Amino acid sequence: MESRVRRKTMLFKTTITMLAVCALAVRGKEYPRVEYAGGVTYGITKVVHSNVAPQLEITDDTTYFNGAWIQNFSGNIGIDAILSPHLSLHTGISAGIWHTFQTVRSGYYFATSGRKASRDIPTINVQYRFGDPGAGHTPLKITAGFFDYRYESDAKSLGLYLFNSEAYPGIVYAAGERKIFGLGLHSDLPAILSHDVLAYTDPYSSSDFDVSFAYVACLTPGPLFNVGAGIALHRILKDDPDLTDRSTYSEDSYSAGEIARIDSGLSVRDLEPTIYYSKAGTKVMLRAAFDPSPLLEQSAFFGPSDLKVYAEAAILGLKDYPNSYESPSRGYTDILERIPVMGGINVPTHPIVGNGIAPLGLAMFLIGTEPDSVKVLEADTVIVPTGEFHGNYELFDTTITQNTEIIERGLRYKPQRLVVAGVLSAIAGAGTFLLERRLGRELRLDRIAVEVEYYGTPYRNVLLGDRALPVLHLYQDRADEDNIRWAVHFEKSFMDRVTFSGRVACDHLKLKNEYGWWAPEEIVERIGEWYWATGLSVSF
Amino acid sequence: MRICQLPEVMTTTMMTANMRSVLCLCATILGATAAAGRAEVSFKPHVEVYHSVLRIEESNEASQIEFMNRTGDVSYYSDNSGAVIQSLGGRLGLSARFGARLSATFTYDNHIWHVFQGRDMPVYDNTEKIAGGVHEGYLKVALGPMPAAPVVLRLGYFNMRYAPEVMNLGEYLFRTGVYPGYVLSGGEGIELLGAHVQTTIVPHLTQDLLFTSEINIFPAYDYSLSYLARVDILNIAEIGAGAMLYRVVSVREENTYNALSYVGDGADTTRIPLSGNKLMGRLVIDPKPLFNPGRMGPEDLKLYCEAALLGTKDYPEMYEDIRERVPVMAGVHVPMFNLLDVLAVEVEWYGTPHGCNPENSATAVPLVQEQFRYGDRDDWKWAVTATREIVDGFEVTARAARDHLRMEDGNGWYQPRELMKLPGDWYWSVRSSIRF
Repeated sequence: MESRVRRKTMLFKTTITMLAVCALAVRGKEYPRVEYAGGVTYGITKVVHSNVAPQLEITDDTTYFNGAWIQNFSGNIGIDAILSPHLSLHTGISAGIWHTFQTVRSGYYFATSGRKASRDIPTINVQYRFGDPGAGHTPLKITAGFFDYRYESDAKSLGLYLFNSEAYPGIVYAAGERKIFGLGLHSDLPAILSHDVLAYTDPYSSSDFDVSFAYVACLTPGPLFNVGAGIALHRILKDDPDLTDRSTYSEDSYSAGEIARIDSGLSVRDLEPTIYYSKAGTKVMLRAAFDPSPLLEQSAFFGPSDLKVYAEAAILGLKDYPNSYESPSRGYTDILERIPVMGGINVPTHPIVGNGIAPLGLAMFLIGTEPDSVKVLEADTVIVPTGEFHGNYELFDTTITQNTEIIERGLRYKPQRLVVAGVLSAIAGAGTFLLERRLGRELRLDRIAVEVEYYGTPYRNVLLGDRALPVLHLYQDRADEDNIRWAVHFEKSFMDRVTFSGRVACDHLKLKNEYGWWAPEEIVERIGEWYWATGLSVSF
Repeated sequence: MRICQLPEVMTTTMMTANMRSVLCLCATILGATAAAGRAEVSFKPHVEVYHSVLRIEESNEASQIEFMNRTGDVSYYSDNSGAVIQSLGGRLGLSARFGARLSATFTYDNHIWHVFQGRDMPVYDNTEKIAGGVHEGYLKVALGPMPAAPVVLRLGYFNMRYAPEVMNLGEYLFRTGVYPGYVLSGGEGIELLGAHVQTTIVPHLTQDLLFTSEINIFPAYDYSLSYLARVDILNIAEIGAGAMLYRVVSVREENTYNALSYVGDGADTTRIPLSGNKLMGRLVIDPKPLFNPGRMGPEDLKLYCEAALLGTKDYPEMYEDIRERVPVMAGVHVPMFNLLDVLAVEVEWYGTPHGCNPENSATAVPLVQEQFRYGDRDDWKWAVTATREIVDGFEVTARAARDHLRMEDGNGWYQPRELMKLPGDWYWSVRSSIRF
């Protein structure tokens, strides 16, 4: 924590210095010159269904995130110093207002529920571009610092696994959540094949000075289709090998040797060295995208980004590890459990589809997957001795007994909701269509993206502490209920400056904790859990 | 989401007319935005550097709660007399103008600050702290005939001042809470997040409508609706009034109307919501047009007063007497004949018996140690503020006061506890700033 704060402070001072130097040194000239940018964003998120409990000491099934309202406001200033046709500096600052999760169940933590101020460096890097700036292709571009890197421009909520994931444990983050802190080399020669080589550290987690290397290639044989692949040697250079390869928790050193020791009564050293789980590993990625827009240019029905299809899969760690000695055990014995796969498609934005059929389909899906309502009438905790001993301590089973009333939800519950959704969708679709014809202007959305992910890990997608071992579910027999995630994203821009966007999703959304870091828990996990979010941003 | 019941005075016709007005307004905004999108963009960076020093001459309160004193006792009290607090900071802003009607601004603030340097404080609390964050960020749209557009819309995070003559005490509508009715003070207004429409369509009448989100006190995000009007009478007097439906839209009922917020036991239990209504009235008199002011400055001799009701509804035990929820202030700008820009003397009376600090306690009931703690000993506040722009862009403000001083919390808000409570408590401060 302290190193993060120190690094942030250092980055901040560097940024302010760069801003001042840029502004004073290069204003008002062609080369060097300064270009400004800025923006303000306001967003609201409402959790509609969730069974996840926040960071409170809760052991029951209470759904504290249900109905949670989350709001954020932020702004930014960006300054680009174009020093020459080849050399440029990019930096900026951002700041915002945010809060931790607001609940009266915070107990003694009300003091942390107050207003929080964020300040951040959205980007700070230097770029050098070789070759003729007027040419269509870049033989080599070097970027050093803290910068955005995306190998798939369309992914909105899911995907981009190569950099938005851990290896051990195989945690997946929201697409675009993570930036690169390091060095990047880019080349798009030959014309149909681009290459990216990156060396970077992870500023987001512990062991944050480990260095990873990655290579990403993208083949674009034509305007319709492109395919890419990448490999990341995750944390291959260790800042502190003890931290990366030997996690501080004892569970992470359980091994086949340890199991043998307990079974045979021999010590570990009598059999073999203890095998430690390492957070380092090799990740590989494969992606493809199909863009039919060149075939649809003549059609008035389709928009420029309609029907684009994209998909990605990754292996988060090529190496298997044995299961730990505990019940239930944890480990990495099956490579299939370390492969997240996602697919996305841009739904046609024609008003009849985008404003009519798509919302109706979404409403039917949400109503159909609505979880049953469980009302706890009375509950009790029963502690039963197992007769087994761990040392001198007898082990107990703790069971929570509940007398509950289950109210079935779904399509059969209040079926008139479907009628209402149908009528509203018809009005929205037909109304927008007719209004477009009457005004002679396009009022339709710019983009509607539907994304789905499957990730068959039997563990929670949660990074707790400094561990290479994954986190078990509270009910491990329901581990596959969180395998599928989905997201529907839409956006509409007005005159290139104001953008209205929205999302309905069960993806990898997280909240910040009181320290300003992302809390490990995801807000929604299972397919019937979802939230909606909407935002308005102004850029200038 | 819960929306409080409003008086049922709106007929269908009125609602239709209002809806039409809203649609017209939206269309106009979109039109202005569209026009701005095609307009040339001009950028204007702005910078401010400021320094402030504050010395507490007498105080019986500590801003930091609950620390161990030398005898090993946990205490809320400390002798802050003689404590000095300094702050040094800067603001970097960028404004973009898209044509004549639309502009956007974002300003970033970063400053160094400290908590009190107490001998009993933990060492890590005594060290330098850096606070930074958004100072303002909003979109501004001007509607109607230019250049003096009669309707101005602001969206985002912006500063709000409806009584610019106030130098420290007052401006209660936005700088107070209800249940408990805490009061803030200071000379910079308050920052609000939301939408603000101001219109001067009716001559001599300025009207403000605001829809704002609570961002400072738990539970965050609830929305409030406010309306203000002020009438200018011959440039001699200004009469203003306002109302605020505080937390009229609750984004999560279990927070706003929560079970922790109650008084009484058993069948006599009364739950007190964190929402409530505020009313405000104010009067400003500037007699200079009645005579030849000679060498008087434009701010000299202004007389002003303001009163507010912090919660229109009574609740048993804690909020039974409406008079205990009415802060009143009065002030005068002493004629300085351009030696100073303003020398303001302000006095406030607020007869609440509670401490009324904005604790994040989720309850409308003051904390036990705040209930009836001070009686009428802390009812009176006063402040003397002097300000002068020495050269263009360089301004110095000095103050001596026993007001609602609270230390900042490093997040753009305040530590909840007031430091000036008892008679005899007071502090002085000097703030200088350079803008360019």
